Amino acid sequence: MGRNRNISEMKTRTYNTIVDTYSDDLYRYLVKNMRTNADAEDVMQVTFARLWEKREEIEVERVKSWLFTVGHRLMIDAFRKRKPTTPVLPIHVGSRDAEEQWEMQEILDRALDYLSPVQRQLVTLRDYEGYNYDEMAEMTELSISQVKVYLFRARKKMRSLLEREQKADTQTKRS
Amino acid sequence: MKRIHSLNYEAYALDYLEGTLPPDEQEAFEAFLERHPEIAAEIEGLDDIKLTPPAMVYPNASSLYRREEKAYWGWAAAAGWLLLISLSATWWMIPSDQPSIQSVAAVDHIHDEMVSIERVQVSPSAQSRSIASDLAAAVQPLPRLEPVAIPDLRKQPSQDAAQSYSRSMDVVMQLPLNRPNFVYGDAVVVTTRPAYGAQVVEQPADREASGTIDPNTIGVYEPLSQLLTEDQKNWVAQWRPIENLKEEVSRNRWADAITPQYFSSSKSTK
Repeated sequence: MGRNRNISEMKTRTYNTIVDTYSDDLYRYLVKNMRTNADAEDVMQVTFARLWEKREEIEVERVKSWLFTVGHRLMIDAFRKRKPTTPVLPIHVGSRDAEEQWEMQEILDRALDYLSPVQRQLVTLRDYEGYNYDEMAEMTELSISQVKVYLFRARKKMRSLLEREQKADTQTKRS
Repeated sequence: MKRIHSLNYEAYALDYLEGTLPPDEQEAFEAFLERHPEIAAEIEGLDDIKLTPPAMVYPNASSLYRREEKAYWGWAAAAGWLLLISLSATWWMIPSDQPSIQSVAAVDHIHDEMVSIERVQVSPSAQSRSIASDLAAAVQPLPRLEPVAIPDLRKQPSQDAAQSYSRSMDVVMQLPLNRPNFVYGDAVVVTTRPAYGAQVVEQPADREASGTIDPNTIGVYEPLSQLLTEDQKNWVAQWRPIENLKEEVSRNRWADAITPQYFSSSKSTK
C-alpha cells in the first residue's frame, strides 16, 4: 500500500516538475509559430492534459520530445482549421528608432514572421530548443533530408531579410 | 563517394557548415563548391544566421499543476478523532426545523495539512426527505475510500472532465485539517478525511460576526460514520453530553469546544 502511494506521489510530483521545466519552452515554441497567445494557450492546455492522461505510459526521459511532438501536431491541426494566410515580405522603411531596431537578433526574430510555417517550426525547434535533425524529422513527420533542406532555405531567407533591412538602414542614415 | 550536385546540395549544406559531414561527403561537397563558386558564396556565413532563444515565461503554468493523489493511511490516526466528532455532531444536528440545503462543501486535500473546500450547489429535490439524504446524494459522486483527486474544473478545461463532473464547483477556502472550522456565511465545516467530502451545515445568510454561530444551525454530515463498529459507537456515546457543546458554542467558544479533549473529558458543565 505504502509502495503504491509513493509511486503515485512521485508521478504527480514528476508531472508538476515537467510543467515547471518545459512549459516555458513549449509555450515559446507555440507563440512563435502560432503568433497568438490565445492559440498557444489552447494548445498548452490540451498538450498537458494529454500528458496527464498518459503519464503512466510516457518515459520521463523522452517527455520533452513527447510534449513538443504533441504540441506541434495540435498546432498543425489548428492551422488546418484556420483560414490560410500568406506571409508578406517586409518592406522596411527606416522611420524607426535607430540602433536598437537594427540589432541582428531583432531582425532575425522578426524575419521568423516571413518564413513559411514549416520553416518557422524547424528554425524554432533547432535554434530555441536545440533539437537535432533526427528528432525534428520525427516530430514534424518529415524526412531528415526534407528537414535539412527546409532549414537551409529558411536560413537563406532570413539572411536575405537581414541584408535587406541592413541595406534599408544604411540608406536611411545617408538620407 | 556520394555525388553532390545542384539539385541535392541543400541537404548537405547545413551539415557542411556545422562540420558534421562524414569525410567522404565532406570531400564531395568541397569538390562541388569548387565547381560552383556562386553556391559557395551563397552558403558562406549562413551558419551565423541563428536565433537566440528569447526569454519567455508561460504565465499560466500553475493552471497545469496537478494535485498529489495521496492515500490516507499516513494521517488516518490524526483524523480519527475528527471522524468521531463528526459522528457525534451527526447525531446532534439535523433538527426537525433544519432549513433546506442550499450548498454543500466537498472537501479535497491539497497537501498534508490543508484541505480546500469546494462548494457544490445542490438544490433539494422533490423527493428530498432530510438534510442527511440530500447531503448523501450530493456527496455520493465524490471519491470515497479511494485516493482519487477531484477534478478541478477551474483549471482543467478538458471537456471530458467537465462532463464527468457536471456540478458547478468553486473553491470556497482552504482550511487546516486538524481542527474544526467555521466557514462564515456558508457552512460549518469540521474538517475530516478528505474525499469523504462533506460535513456541512446550513448557516443563515443573515448571520453576522464571524466566529459566532447558532448551535441549532450546526449540521455535520460524515459518511464515514456509517462505517463505525458498535464498539466505536459505544465509545462515542461516552463523550460529554452534546448539550454542553452547544452551550460552549453559544458562548462563542465553539472552536475551543470542539476538541478531542472536550469530548473525552468526563467533566460536565451542566
